[in-house]
Amino acid sequence: MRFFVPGVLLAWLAFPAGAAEDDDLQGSVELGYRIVDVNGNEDKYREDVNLDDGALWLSGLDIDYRPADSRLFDSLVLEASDLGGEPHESARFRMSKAGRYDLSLRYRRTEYFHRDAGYFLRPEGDLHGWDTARDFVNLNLRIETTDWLTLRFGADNNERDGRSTTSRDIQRDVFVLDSPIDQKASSFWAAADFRWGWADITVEQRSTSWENRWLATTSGNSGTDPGEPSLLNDYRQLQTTDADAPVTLLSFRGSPWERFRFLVEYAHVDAELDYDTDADWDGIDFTGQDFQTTLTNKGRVQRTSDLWDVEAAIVLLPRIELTIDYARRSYEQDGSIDSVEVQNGGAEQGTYPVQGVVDNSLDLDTSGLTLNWQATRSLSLALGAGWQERTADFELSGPAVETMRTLYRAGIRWRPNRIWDFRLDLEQGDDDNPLTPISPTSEDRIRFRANVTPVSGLALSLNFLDRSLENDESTPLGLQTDDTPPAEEISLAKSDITSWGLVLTWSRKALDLTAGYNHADVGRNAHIVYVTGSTFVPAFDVFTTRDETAYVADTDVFHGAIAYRFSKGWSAGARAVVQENAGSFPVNTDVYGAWIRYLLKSGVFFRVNFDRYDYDEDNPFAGDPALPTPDVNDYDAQLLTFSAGYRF
Amino acid sequence: MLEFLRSAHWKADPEGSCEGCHGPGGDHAEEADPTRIGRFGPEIPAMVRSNACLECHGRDRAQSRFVSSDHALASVACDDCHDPHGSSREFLLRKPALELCYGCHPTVRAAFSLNERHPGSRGGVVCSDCHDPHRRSGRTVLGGFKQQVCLKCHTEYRGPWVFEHEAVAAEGCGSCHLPHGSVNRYLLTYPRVSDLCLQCHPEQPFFHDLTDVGGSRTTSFNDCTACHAMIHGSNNDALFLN
Repeated sequence: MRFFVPGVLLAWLAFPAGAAEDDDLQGSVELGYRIVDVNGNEDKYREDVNLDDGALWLSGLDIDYRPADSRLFDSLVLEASDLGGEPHESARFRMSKAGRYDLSLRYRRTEYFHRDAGYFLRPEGDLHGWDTARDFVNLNLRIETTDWLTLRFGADNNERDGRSTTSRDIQRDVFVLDSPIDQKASSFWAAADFRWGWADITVEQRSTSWENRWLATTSGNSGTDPGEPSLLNDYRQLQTTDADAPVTLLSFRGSPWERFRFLVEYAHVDAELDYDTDADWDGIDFTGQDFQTTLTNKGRVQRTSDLWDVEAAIVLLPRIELTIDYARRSYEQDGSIDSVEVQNGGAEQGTYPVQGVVDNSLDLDTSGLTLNWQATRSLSLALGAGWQERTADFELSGPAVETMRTLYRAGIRWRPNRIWDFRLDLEQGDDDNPLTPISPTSEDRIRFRANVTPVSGLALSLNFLDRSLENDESTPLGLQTDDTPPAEEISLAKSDITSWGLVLTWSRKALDLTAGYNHADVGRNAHIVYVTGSTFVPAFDVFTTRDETAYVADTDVFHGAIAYRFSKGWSAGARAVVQENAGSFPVNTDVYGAWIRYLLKSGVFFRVNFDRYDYDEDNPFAGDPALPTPDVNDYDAQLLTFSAGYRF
Repeated sequence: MLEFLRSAHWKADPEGSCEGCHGPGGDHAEEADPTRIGRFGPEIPAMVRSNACLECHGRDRAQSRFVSSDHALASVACDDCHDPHGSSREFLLRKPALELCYGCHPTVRAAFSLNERHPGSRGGVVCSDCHDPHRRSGRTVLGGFKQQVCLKCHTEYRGPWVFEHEAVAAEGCGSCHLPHGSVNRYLLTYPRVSDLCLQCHPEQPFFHDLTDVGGSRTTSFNDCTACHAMIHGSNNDALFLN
């Protein structure tokens, strides 16, 4: 918010003493008051909606000023919404003079709340909770100094604060810890764009840094397992991290001949993170003995990243263009750890040092070919193929893994006339050695869309999407140990999504209507053999259980909105979003809203909004005494908002 | 016309604005023939319409790779989203940003209608904050460092970590999360955390009791992140316990 105020002041100062008669000034301002009534789980309401009772100090502000004659600027825009205590605030200021400069400032604040009391698949609830907010500020300035040189400057600031809870396994029990959030990231950059005949060159230098002060505390905490005698009298852990990452970008692109253009880009990032952990805790251990523990850890992680992009495009025939591209993404990092945990007293008394360096690297080399053919005025075709060699070398996961991915794709669009428009896209991909058990060895995607626009303002669109990912020969990263069962027994992971829908839009002078329906079938499963009795030495494994992680979702979404202007003064509208989800986690949500507005000739307007949110989980085990999980998350909220504003 | 006189296109070049995009207009003016000048509209091939814009804007780094973008290959032209004659919206967009994207991507709209959806969708975040409409998508270029887009805002997960979660490093956040919307908490692909983790980590130590009770595993070991709380990466512990 504090960054928004200077923007408003700047906008105010930028105005001439008063807008002249020939100037173009448009905008609106709106304030209001809201009454909220929530029945049911208010925490879940805060998670999903989070709109409170009370005044809406600046629910909307919109100023668009274009003076007829000003040496300072020819466009000034100021937009803001939901400022003053709402969970999602945003504001944008932009001032520019064509051919001279462009200045923009953007602000956002997003609150996040999560407190999960539990549901039938997690009856014990979630030990982790958040009540935090993120503030984002972005500043950009572009100065066109000459025909051949443009300078750009910018800054980003991203802060997060608030409260949270986390959890930790200590002495065979799990403890919930308070953990205030204090994080900050910022970056500044300067860039120069040179234009030289047919060539363009960009040089950009960026300074990026981020820091995180992570604190976790508790006292007098007996843990979450009543069967364990473990107790924490006091726990305090402070971990600070500070990182810097200068980024250098060079871009060279151009079109030396009419039918040929190229691009070469290179970015280099040197990230360096220093961390420092200091913790101590004491209490009663799992055997009932007193203990005291201290942990110190200090280290550094250095990561060097190189990013290359090369692209060349040539027009083979007037309407056939071939693009050849190559991209390389690679990083290498060394992370050092120098940790020592000392426990005095208790069954696990001792000193536990960990020292060393962990080296990881990942290289991705991607090549591609794309052919774009505008066959006729109404028909276009696109064909593409891509190949990616990946080498992942994570020190703790065994030897490096090399894989080759391929992706072929084709697209066709046929627009025979202004009424009909058809599109079909197909993709087929393979991976000969997936990096994780859920990385696909094969993937298929088909999408079809048809639009019909019989008359201006009326459109009906149909869409169909089917995407299938499958892993049938997993040799996963992270499981390359002698104790791992044979790869083919680990998993057959599949993920299928089939979705189709219809959307109708109708826009006339006084009417705007949208109505849509979407159905999605989602199926995921992984056949696994998980070794619940694993001792990490197969011969001594206690027992093996065959199981399947299976997930099904069958979701229907209806959405609609209508707005109608009855007269110059009166207008009204309504909206609805209804979601019905069956499957592994049955849940239904209904959102309804209606509004009416009256606009006076003077530009003053009044508006009344009514909204209703209904959240309903459907616990298939409700009433089963062996699984006592009530539907604790359901809520029904009604919101009534009065607002008034002025449009000019 | 009034909007055009307010637009940056007019302000940047008031002398030759129309012909800059439509080409020479002498014959058109003399003969009053609408076919004797460069025209736009859905009946004109997208490649032709976009090339008129890219004459100038194609030299900007941001739009320099548009011709190989997914939009260009799907015959989406610049003027399908932008109104070169002027708009009160930023970047001369024809409609509010979300509405514009939803027009061709209804399945994404449906995902944002689910009970768990990316909270940014309610607060001034638009599709182009994560997706670059002027370049090829991450999927069709087989991904790069896939997590980079998410880390722009979720800076606490940037690391770099001494102990990386390989799935995140190699396959990106999307291997566990559905960023637009999901039925499940934390936008996860599975409602029960253990189902998600077991896909890659089937081997469990002897004290992990994952007994299935009535089709619903109920022990605390089904909530893997209760202990492995630093699941995105850690500087203290290879098992992400601390």
